[in-house]
Amino acid sequence: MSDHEEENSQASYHDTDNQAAYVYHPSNIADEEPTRPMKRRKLGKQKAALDQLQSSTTSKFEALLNGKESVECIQFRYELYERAWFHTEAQIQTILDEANEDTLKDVTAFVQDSMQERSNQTNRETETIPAGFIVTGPNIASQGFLFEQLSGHLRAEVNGPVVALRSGDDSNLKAILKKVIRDATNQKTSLDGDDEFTTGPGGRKLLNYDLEILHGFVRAQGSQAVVVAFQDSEAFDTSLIAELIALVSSWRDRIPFVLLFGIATSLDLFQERLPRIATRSLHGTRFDVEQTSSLVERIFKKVLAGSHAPLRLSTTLVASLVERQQEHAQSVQAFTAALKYAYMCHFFANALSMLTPVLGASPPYALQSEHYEAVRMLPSFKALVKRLIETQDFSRANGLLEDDTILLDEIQSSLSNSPVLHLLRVAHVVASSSPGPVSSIDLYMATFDGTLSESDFASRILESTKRMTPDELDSFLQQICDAIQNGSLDMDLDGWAEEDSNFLEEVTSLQSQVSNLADQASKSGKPVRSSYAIRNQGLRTTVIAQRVQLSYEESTLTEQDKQFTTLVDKLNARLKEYFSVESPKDIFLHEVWLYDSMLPYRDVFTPAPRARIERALFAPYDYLKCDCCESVEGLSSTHPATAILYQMYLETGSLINIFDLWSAFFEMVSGGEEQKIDERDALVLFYRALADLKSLGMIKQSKKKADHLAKTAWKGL
Amino acid sequence: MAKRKKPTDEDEAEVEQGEEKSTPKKRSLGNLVIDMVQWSGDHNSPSRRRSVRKDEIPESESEGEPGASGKTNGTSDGHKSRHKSVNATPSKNIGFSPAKKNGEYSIQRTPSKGLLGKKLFATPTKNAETTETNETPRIVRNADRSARRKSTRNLIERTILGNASDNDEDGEDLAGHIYGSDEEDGLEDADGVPDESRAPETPSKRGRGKGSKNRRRSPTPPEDLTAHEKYFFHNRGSRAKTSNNNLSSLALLDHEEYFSRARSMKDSHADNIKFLEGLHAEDFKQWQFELNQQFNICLYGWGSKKSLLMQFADHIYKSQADHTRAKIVVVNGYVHNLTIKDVLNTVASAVAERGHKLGAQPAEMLENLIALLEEDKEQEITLILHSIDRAPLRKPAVQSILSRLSSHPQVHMVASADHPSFPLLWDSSLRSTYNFLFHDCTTFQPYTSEIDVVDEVHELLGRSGRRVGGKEGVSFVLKSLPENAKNLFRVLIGEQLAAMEDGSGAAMEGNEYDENEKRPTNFKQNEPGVEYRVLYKKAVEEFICSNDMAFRTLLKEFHDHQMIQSRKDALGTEMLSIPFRKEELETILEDIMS
Repeated sequence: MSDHEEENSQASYHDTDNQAAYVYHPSNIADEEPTRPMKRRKLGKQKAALDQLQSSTTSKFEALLNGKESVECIQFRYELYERAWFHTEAQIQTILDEANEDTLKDVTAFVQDSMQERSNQTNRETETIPAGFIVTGPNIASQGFLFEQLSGHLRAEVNGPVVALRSGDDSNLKAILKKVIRDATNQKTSLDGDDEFTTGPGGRKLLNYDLEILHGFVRAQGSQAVVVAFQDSEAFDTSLIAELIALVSSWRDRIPFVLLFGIATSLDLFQERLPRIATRSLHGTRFDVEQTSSLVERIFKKVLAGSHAPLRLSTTLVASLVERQQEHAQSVQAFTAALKYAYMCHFFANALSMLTPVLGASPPYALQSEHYEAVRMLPSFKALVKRLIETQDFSRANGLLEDDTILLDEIQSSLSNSPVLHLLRVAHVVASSSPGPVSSIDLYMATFDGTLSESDFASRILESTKRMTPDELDSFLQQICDAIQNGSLDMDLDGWAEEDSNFLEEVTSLQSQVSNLADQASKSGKPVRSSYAIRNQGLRTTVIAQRVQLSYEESTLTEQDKQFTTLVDKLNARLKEYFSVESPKDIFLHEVWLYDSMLPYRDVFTPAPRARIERALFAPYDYLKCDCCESVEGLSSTHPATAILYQMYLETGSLINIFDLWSAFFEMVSGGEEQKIDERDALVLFYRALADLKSLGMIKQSKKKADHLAKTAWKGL
Repeated sequence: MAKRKKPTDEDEAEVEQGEEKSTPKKRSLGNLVIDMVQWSGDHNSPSRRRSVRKDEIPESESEGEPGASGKTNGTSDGHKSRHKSVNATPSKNIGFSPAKKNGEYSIQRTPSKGLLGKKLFATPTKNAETTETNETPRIVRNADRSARRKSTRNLIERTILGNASDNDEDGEDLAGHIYGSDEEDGLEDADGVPDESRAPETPSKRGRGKGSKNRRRSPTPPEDLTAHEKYFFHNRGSRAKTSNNNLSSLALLDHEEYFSRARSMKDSHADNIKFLEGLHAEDFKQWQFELNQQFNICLYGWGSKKSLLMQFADHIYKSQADHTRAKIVVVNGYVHNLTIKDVLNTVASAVAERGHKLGAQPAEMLENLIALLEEDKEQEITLILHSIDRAPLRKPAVQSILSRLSSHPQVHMVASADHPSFPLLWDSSLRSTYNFLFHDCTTFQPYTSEIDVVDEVHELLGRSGRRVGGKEGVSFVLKSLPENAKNLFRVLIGEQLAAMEDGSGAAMEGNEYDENEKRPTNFKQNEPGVEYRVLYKKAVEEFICSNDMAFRTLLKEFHDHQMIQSRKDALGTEMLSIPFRKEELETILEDIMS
């Protein structure tokens, strides 16, 4: 390094600038205000009575409502967040555990079987090593989680050590063996030197990658299996795995190895990569893991469409979330993180989030007057007042606008009857009565868009009822009744027979009428069909004589047929009415439980660094908001040096003459004749800008011509 | 239209040759920046050029069909008539062409004649070529080549000495004429035969076996191209037209001057930048909350984020009650000699006050560190990592260790990233382990500690030798070294100068051969250097040293003063070089000899 390096152009130079890594102790902290003793609060701890000053610094949330929010409210919001997310996270965890449970059980059984088999073979002449192939699918991000679960499970169930290997850890056989032995024997790592000796039986010195150590350990512990799991086997060097397999198989008569492979592609591909000699010494069983997409759907159903979900996401957000999931991330973890971030944003940035109905939370504190003001600013409040005015209910509208207590009543009533529950119930009825399988994510989107009644889901059901025979219709109606009475476990919906008794009665009465008809039909031996079904059949049977056939069929409708047709019509009308739910965005106070903000999600999870950097250089005003370069895009002498040079860079060809670039730059910054800046100073700026462009990976030295730069970005434009 | 533009272009070129004062800038139309500056001083030439054009256009319009070779221009009359005759009687032409002054023309022209009737981009049939080669007299070729070689050398000398541009003098014109002869050919042909890109098959060059392409392709696309072909035509690489100016007239900055000037300079945007930083600082509470929720944070955007992050460190420090349990570790990712071990060791030293041994392998160290962390669940580490995407931390193994460290619940990481493509560092698995939230923190602050501006720029300018303190520094160092070392350095300079001599010639050829920088390795090889073993042999021959050991000791001294560079070429042989330019090397050599 040069001697000048420690000099710094900015006055504030620290010794630490060139230190690689250090523990930070602020030097200037003493003259700041004295730090108060504070404790990190843990979840569920009851609130300590904190004075205003203290908590304004300790609380994790900022005071909203222009800083007028009271400490208690801030605190309450935070606790509400903790509770809400804790609840949701627990649900997700349960689903993940359940999802892997079958695989875990299978694998454990497999390991135990192999142990069994081994002990049965008295001569210990096992030909091959048992190997489990766990096909995890492309979601490599959740492999880690699966294998963690797996080793935990196996350690509990199997008598013997379990070692999980990751491709990134070790790159050669020696290191892998060391790790296997170290992890298996659970020894503290040798800290001194690479090849420490361990005294083996008979006083022999063993190198720390000698499997003899493991052998001794296995004998001493009486272990029945040594499980070695390769978490991401594709990422390992093939020859490494082959060598390890060869080694392991030569020890198989002494150490009861069981190998597990995590496979992201397919078993065939994996086998192809391994040399024949390695595959021959394995005998394997394949295990499938539940794929991410179905897992995500299950999680979605529980935590977004579930009845206890404290916070729901708007359809636009869900759409982009699902798109990213399907096309980029393919990982449950990413989905969960996005969900968590939505929760965080909601409770962090929305003062009214303290009204969010979280299961098991205590009712909110007395609202501040600012809260009421904030409620009155909500679009949904405005819509409510507008509706009241349209219905000529002026006094109520006036009361809501003027009187906080009336508003409070309204808030409480609108939160207590949880309008969203109705939506979910309808969605559930649709899902359970639909003729085909339904994607719960799509159904959620339709429901929360308020377009359910026009959606495919509804129309498909309505169409299907028209074609049903009485028996089919009977069972269809039964499905609806069951759905209402039993609710849905996936969505945490209890049956709601009492609350929706009207609809249920109608359905059951329809059902009894239909079954009556069906009985009669079976007695008379004549099938009963609705006119829709007949028309369809008529169309289907004779295409040539279409017209004739149709009129013929119409005219022969029996009395029962006509009766049935009216029943179907009635049902259709009733279902249509039932399906037409109001959009959640029309519900008063939906802002409290429906999170609808795309921006934080997009910014935080899918950054566009190149676009941001180039925009900063292209239009510095967007960031700096300075008077001098107001809204001047492109080239301007007032821009920062790097921005000027970047602009020039964009206009050059693929080869840049440095001298010409410098003279153009100097011309620009000095303003031609005006000589606004000394040439040497301009050169300093030029140097800095050039170094900046280089660090952005835009230029490099050209070998073609002396004193030229080669462009490495935006070439040929 | 397409056809029409070419003749004008060509005429310009030819007129330029005649003009005494015309500058190469005229050709650098592609380079806007340069144009902008340089046109200002040069008012005459455009008008003069225009007048030439005016004369020219009617003529070129008068040309009937593109296939006709008839083309009139005052300066190239001689060529013209011969050209015609070539087309008329090819067999005869071969007979007398050697006697002509510019025999090469006819040789080169003949194959094109064979292609005349063929359609666009048709490969010349072997038939035509072979007959051509057979018929061409060998002597002519040799003569041409030597003329060419001479003129090449002449040109190279001028370019390297850097005091003359191509068209400065009349005498040079001739050299340029000979040297660029096939280029011109190409142009003339372009009028008649659009596929002059076939010229590489010219027999005169086949003998050398060196693939020689025509050097300039026609600037206008051939007609009837489909849309996508047109796109590629417009975006194809082409020889960049830049002026021959160089930096010799500019006194470069050294560290001292740079820093003293930089310190006294005032940024007109200082207030705005400060305000911007203040805006970002308002988010500290949010960031802290995010860290608390097991997310890690990555800041990106233009400008140094160092001071912002240090402010954030202060903010965290102030909010932490128990400074024995909660530690902040700062890592400067831009420090050249940073290793992942430093990071892990520092974290360990933050956890356990006295030195704690972690092991040798990073993976092993990480495990031990995590075990150490988990001994006390209340322990918390906030890791502030400046420039996670700079060279020292870019390796995948390092990133994987970092990600696993950051994913530990007791470790919170705040990183900054500067490069526009930094997300490419991480695959989906790493990304999900990191669990990053990204925040745009464009600060516009200069990268004062991250980038060593002067060194970086000098590297860009190919003057990394300035690091030693220029040639004065080198002679200073040499003065304090024993005679042997001096001699070795002298030998090295001599060898390198010789290599440069060859290398620059080769580079020129390389340029000619490969215009569009498609083969960067080509140019790498042209970088002059001396092979380690060759140098050793030379040193032994000159009795500078007797064994490898002594040789290495001598070299080490140079290495320590950064007077030489060592690198491996494509074949793995070690190449030594002195990071100076030719002229500087020459003066150093003179110094040593004196």
